[in-house]
Amino acid sequence: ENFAASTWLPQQASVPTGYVTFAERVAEATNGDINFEIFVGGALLPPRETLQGVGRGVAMMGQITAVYTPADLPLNNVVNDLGFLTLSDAVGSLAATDVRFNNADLQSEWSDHNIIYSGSFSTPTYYIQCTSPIRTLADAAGKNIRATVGAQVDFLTSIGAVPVSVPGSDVYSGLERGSIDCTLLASDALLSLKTIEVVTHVTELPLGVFLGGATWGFNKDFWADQTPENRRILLDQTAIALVENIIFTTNLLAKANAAAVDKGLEIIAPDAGLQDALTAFNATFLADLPASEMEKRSIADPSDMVNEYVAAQEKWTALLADVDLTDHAALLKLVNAEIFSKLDENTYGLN
Amino acid sequence: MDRIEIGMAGVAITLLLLAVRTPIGVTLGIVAFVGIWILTSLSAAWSIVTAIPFDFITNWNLSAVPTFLLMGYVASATGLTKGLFASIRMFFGRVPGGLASSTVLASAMFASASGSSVATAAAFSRIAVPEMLKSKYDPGLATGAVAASGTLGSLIPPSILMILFGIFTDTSVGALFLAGVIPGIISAGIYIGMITVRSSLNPSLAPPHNETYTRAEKIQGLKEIWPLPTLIVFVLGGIFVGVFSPTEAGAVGAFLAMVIAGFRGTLNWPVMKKALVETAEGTSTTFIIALGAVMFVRFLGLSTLPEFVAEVLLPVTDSPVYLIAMIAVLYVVLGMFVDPMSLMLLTLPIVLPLTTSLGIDMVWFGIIVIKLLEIGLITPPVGLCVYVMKTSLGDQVSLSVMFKGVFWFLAMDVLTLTILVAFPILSLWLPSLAQ
Amino acid sequence: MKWAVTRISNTMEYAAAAVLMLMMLHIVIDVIAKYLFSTSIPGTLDVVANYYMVATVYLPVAFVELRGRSISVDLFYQWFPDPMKYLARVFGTAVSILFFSLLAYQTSIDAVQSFAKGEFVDGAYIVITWPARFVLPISFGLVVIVLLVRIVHELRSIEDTPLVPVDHDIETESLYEGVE
Ligand code: NA
Ligand code: NA
Repeated sequence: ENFAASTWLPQQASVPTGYVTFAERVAEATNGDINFEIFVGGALLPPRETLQGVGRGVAMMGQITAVYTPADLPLNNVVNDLGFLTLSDAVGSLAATDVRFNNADLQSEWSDHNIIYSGSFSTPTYYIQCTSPIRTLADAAGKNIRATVGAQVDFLTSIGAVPVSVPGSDVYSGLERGSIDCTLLASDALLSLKTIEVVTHVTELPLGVFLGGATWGFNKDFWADQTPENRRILLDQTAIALVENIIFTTNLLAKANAAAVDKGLEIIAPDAGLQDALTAFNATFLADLPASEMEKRSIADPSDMVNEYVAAQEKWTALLADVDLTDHAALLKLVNAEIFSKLDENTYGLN
Repeated sequence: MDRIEIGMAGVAITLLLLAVRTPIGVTLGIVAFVGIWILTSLSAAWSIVTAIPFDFITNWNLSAVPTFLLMGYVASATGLTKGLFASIRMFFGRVPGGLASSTVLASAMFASASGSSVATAAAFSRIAVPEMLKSKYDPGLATGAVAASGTLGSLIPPSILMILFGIFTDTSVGALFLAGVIPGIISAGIYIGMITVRSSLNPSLAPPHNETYTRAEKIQGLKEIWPLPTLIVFVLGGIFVGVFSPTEAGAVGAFLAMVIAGFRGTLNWPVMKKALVETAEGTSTTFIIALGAVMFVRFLGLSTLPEFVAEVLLPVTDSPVYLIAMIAVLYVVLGMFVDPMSLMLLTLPIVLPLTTSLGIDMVWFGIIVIKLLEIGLITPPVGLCVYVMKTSLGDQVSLSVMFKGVFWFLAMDVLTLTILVAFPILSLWLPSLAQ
Repeated sequence: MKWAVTRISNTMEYAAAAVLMLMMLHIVIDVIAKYLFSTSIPGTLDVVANYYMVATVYLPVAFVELRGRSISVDLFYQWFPDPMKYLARVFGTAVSILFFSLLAYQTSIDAVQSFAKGEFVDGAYIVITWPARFVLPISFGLVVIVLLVRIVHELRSIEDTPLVPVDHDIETESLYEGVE
C-alpha cells in the first residue's frame, strides 16, 4: 500500500536522502505492505504544517521540526533550547532521541498531536563564520552577527556583539557587501549554503546545535494499523536511518573542513577570555533554564526533563568517545542496545 | 484519471476560467484547492488554505515589494521624477525612444543593488511609466520596458535566484554573480537597440520631442535633475558599502524619497496619503495573485506534471545545444504558470543529471537558466512583474496591452539567449579573470 | 448596507496605509540603530513579516473588491456579447465568493486555535503572533460580504456599472494629473 511521506528539506540534504533509502528498505522488508512515497522540499507539507499534516494523515510519515510550532510542542522546544549546550551532532541526535523516547511528558506531547515519535536528528555545532577575525572578547565587540536563537542572541549580547536578524536569502550578500560581519552556522553550511565563498575566518566557539523534533514521526492511526512485525521493521529501519544520517554528516563535515583548509580559511581557536565567557554563560543559562522556560512557555517545572537530557548528553558523550563516527556497525550496535531494542513493538505508542 | 491527467485538467480549467475573466488569484487558488482534494484528500486541500495565506508572506522574498513600490509612489507623487525625465526629454528628446531606453538603463543600475526582479519592477512602475505616458509613449512600449527590465534584477548581481541556483547545483555563487554582469549588460543593450529601432521606424510609438530650448531653460532644467539620481545613488551606495541589506533598501529608499521631497517642499499630507493608500492597494492586489500562484504551484508539484513535462521534453542526447534548446522550451512552457524559484526547485533534479552527463559548464548553464526563469515573470497568465505594474497603474493600461508590449522584449530575450548559448565566453570571461 | 461596507472597507484600507508607514519607519530606525549605535530593535524581521506584511496585504482586499479592481484577463472578455459579459461578471464574482469563503472559514478556525495555544515565533526573539492571525478572517470575512453585495448589484443590471460611484473613490482619477 502507498503512503505519503513528507520532508521540507531539499532533495540533496541528509534527511531527504535518508528518507529515500528508508522508504526503499521498508518496502522491501515489508514485501510492499508499506510503500512510502516521498515528497521533498515541502511540496506536500512545509515545515510549519508538518505537525498538523502528519497528525491528520495528509502524510503518514513526516519530518516534524519542533521549533516551527513552539506553541504546540512547548516541552520538546525546551529540548531544543538545551541544544545550545550540546557539542556535536552525534551526541545531540542520540541524547535527544533517548530522552524523547523515554520521557513520558515529551511522549504525551507527541501523542496529543496524534504523532508517534521515532527519532531525532541534530545539526552539527554552530560556529562563528566571519569576514574578519574574532579571537578575543575585544574582537567580538560591536560586530554585527546574524543569530537565529534566543540563547545565541543572549550570549552575543553578553560579549558586546550586535546580534542581528537577517533573512536567510540575505546572508550571502550581507557577508559579501558587509552589512553583516558574521553569521552563526554549522561548518557544513560552508558548502551547503556556499558561505565558504564570502567567509574568511571561522571562530570555533561552540554555540549549540538544532535538535530538530520528530525527524521520523508517524501518524498514530497509521502506526496502530500496522502489524507488530511491520512496526518492528519501522523501528529498526529508523535506527539504521539515524546512524546513516550521523555518518552522512560526519563525512560532510570532513569535506567542508578540507574545503575550508583548501580555500585558506583561517580557523580560529577562541582565546581563554572568550572561552571563559561562554563557559560562564552556559552555567548561568542552565541554572536559569527551568525558570525561564516556565515563564516563556507557560509550562510546569521542566527540571526533571532538563536533568534527564543533561544526563543523556553525558552518557552519549562517554559512549561515543571511542567510536569511529563513520563506523556503521559499531554505531548501529550502540544505538540498538541503548535505545531501539528497548522499545516494544507490541506496546509502543499504542496506549 | 492519473495524477498527470489531473494536473493537465487543472491547467486547462485554469486557462478556461481566466479566459472568461475570473480574477487571476481566485482562479489559481480555487483550482489548486479542488485539484489537491482530488489528488490527495480534502484534509490536504484544507491544509493549503490553513497555512499558505499566513506563511507565504513570511517566507517569500516578496517582502521587499511594498517598500520598493512605496519608494516609487513617493518619488513620482512628490515630483522627484519630473526633473530628470524633463531633462532627458530636453537633451535626448530627438533620440528615438529615449525615455524608454533611459528607463532600461536606470533599471539595470537599480538591478545591481536589488536582488529581486519583482521589487525592481515595482520601483520603476511608478517612477517611469507615468512619465512615459505623459510624453505620449505607446503604453505597451512603456510598460514592456519596465516589466522586462525588472527581470534584470536577477541577472545582474546580487541575485537571490543565483544564490539558490548555486546552492542547489553546488556551483560558486561568486562565479555566477560575475558571470551575470556581461549578459545583464547585453540584455539591456539589446532592449535599448530594439526600442531605438522600433521607435525610429514608427515614431508614433515614442513621439520625438522637437521643441528647442534656450540656454537658460536648459540650465534651469539641469537644476531640477538631482532628486531622483540622489535617491538612487543613496540607495545603491548604501547597499554597496553595507549600511543596509537589499531587503531593507526599499524602506530606506521610501524614507529618503520623503526626506528629499520634504526639502523641496513638495511633500504634503494629501500626497503622502495617496502614496500610502495606493501602495497598500497595489501590494494587496499583487499578493492575492501571488497567494493563488503559491497554492497552484503546490497543486502542480503534487500532480508531478512538471516532472512529467520535463521527462517528455528532455531528450537523451549528446548535443548540449539541442539539450539547452529543449530546456528553454521546458522553462518557457512551465514558466507561464510557475514562479522562478519553485520552477527551479521542481525541475533541476531532472535537468541536472542530463547536463552533468554532457559535462556542461554549470556557471554558463546557470546564467542561461536564470535568464530563462526570468522570462516566466513576464509571460501570461502568471507574470508577477507585469501584475505588480498593473496594480500601480490601475485601469490606465489593460493587461493585454501590457503583455503585447512585453512580447517585443521577449523576442529580444530569445536573441540574447541565442547569443549567450553561442558564445559561452560572454558569461565565463569575468569569472575566469577572478580565478 | 452598501454604505456600511464602503465605510468599513475604506477604514481598513487606511489602516493598511498606516501600517505601511509604520513598517517603513520601523525598518529605517532599525538600520540607523545598527549603523550608528551598534544595536538593533529586537525582532524587527519577525514583526515585519508577521504583522506589517500581513496587515498591508490583507486589510485592503475588501477595498479592492468593492471597486472591482482585482486583476483579471480582459483579452477575450472585451469581445463577448453583452449577455455573455453579464454571465462572466456574475460567474467571476461567484467563484470569488467561493474562494474567499474557504479562506474566511479556515483562517477563522486557525485564528481561534492560534489564540488558544498562544502562538508565537521562537527565533532570536520571542514574537507573539496570534493577534496577527485575526487579520485574515476579518479581512476575508468582509471580502465575502462585499462580494455578496456586489453579486446582488451585478445580477440586477445587465450593464457593467460600478458598485460604488467613482466620485466617492479615493482619488484614483488624479493618478495621471499630468496627462492632458
Ligand atoms: Na540584482
Ligand atoms: Na509566467
